[in-house]
Amino acid sequence: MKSPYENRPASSFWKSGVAQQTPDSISDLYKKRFPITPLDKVATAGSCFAQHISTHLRARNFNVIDTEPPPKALPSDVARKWGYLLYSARFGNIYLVRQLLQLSQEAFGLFVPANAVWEKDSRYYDALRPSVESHGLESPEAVEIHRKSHLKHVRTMFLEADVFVFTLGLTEAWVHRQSGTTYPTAPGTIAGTFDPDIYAFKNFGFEEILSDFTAFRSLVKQHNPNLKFLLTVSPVPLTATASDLHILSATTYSKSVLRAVVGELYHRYHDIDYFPSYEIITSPLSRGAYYSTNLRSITDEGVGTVMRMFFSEHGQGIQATGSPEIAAERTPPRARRPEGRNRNSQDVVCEEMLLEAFSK
Amino acid sequence: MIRLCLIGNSHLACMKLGWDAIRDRNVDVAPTWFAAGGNFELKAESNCLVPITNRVKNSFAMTAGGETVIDPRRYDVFVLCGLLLSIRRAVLMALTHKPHSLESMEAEHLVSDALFKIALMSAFEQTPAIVFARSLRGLTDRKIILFPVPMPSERIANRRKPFAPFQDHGAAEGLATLVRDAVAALAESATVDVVWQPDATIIKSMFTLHEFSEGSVRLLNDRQHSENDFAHMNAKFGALAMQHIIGRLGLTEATTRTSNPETACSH
Repeated sequence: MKSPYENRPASSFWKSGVAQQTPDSISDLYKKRFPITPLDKVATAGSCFAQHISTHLRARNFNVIDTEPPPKALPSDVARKWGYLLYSARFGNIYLVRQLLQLSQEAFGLFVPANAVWEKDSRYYDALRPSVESHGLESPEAVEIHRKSHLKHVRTMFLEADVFVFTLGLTEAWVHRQSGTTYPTAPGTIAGTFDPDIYAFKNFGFEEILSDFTAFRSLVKQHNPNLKFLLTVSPVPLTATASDLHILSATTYSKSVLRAVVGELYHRYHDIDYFPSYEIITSPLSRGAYYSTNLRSITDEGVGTVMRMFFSEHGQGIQATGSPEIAAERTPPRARRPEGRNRNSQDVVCEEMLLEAFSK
Repeated sequence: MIRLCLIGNSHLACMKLGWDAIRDRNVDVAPTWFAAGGNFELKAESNCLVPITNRVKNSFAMTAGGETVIDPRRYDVFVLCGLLLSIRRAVLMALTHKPHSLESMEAEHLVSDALFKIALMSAFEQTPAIVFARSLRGLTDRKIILFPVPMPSERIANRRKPFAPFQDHGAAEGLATLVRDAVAALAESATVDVVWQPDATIIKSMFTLHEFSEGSVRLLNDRQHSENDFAHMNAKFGALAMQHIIGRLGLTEATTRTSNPETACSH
């Protein structure tokens, strides 16, 4: 053999593997490690981008667990604003692996968050999912009662799932200085008050995130030994950074760390698969075409390309009831939105967008 | 003379029977009854509300003296009676999603009262009562009154499982409040009024006293509802309800006195 690259497949070379491909023609980018069929119970969680995966899986009649469904009469667009139909329980976006670890520990009685109730205008919010009740609740006690009920359903989700799909979104977070409790939003953004003596900025590093996911995996597999994991990294850039870096560098750092962690997890554990939606959207292969004009939101076309690759490996689900497009036809008129090419995937509920209100 | 247009389903039966008992006391009120059983649709056409099925058309012809089309210009006040605007929907919703304030109840899911109310409004929005109210409001600026489905008989609480938790007075009061709030919010958005059944007919916030449901009869013939029918009310209820509604029509005291010989004589 003249060169160790001599007999490598076309996918091993940038020219044949990428430069001469389109996002729709590229092959061998994703080979499933284990199948996910409509018979498997799939749980979903993660950052905003994970909502797309959840939505498309549901539309194809994959067996996506929903342990906290909305009241039947609630229209789906309203339900989503109240934190329903986004993931397998009503926990809102989970941007950080530390959040995921906390949630699992709390669900199994191993963790009590600090300052878990935030106040705004005499209404009280669950600090770990502040966006699910847009007007808050009437008392701190009410928040605690609702959280207890929520955790019961989270526990059920972890116990019943065959596959846990999780999208890693951020490394930057706001934490409680004394306890380390990590929140999905900065205090003062949706509710609560920011006190620098109580809360601090934290940018999680590779070792911490790797350790957190390993601890999460270990915990849930104690209760559900056959659980498998499908990980993705969100291609959505940060809205804002609290680091001293330029937002572009901060985004690159965060995504690089997350991608590296997922790579390590993939190599370390055979029950973890990685789906490269991040590569499809962010790489030169797509020439930035899947970003909206704000260079942040992912277009429906981009999501569609990603999901086609996913379903090409995991089957098409139950086609009779169809694609998201068909599902949209079945959606009540008030839940529909205008058609249009390259529109943003605006159905995604993303409180991170609130940061834009504070950017000026 | 007040020309009253009553549109409803089976719950209009007791109102008609009750009216027969009080008409002599309300000679300045001229009701027309547009009734059809169950759930039905009307469409706005040529500034009128028109049945879209022959079943409803025929039913209207029978109850409204040959009229099959509701021409809003021919009436002064409209009453939308029953038409699925019922507390039963809230009861069924609470079985799976307990509103926070209903402390004594058990359900798989817990929701805030605010969310429960929004879900309830969404459910009610689809009822003929609200659909007709919005359609009518698009055709006329005259008074439109929602008269929701009467609360079920008090006897339903120990005969129908979904209603059992509401034997607890706190739960019943809490649910009734949520329902009234949801209906009030919808009525406000549709710029119509709500008239609830008279307080004298209600027991434990969300039930009707048994004396107002026993012996209730069907809409299109005089056959009695079965003993297990806890939803429909009798003529005694209808008389009270109609007088209650008439009291809310905005008739002046002088008009009422003039129109009611018995009252005039008693003075």
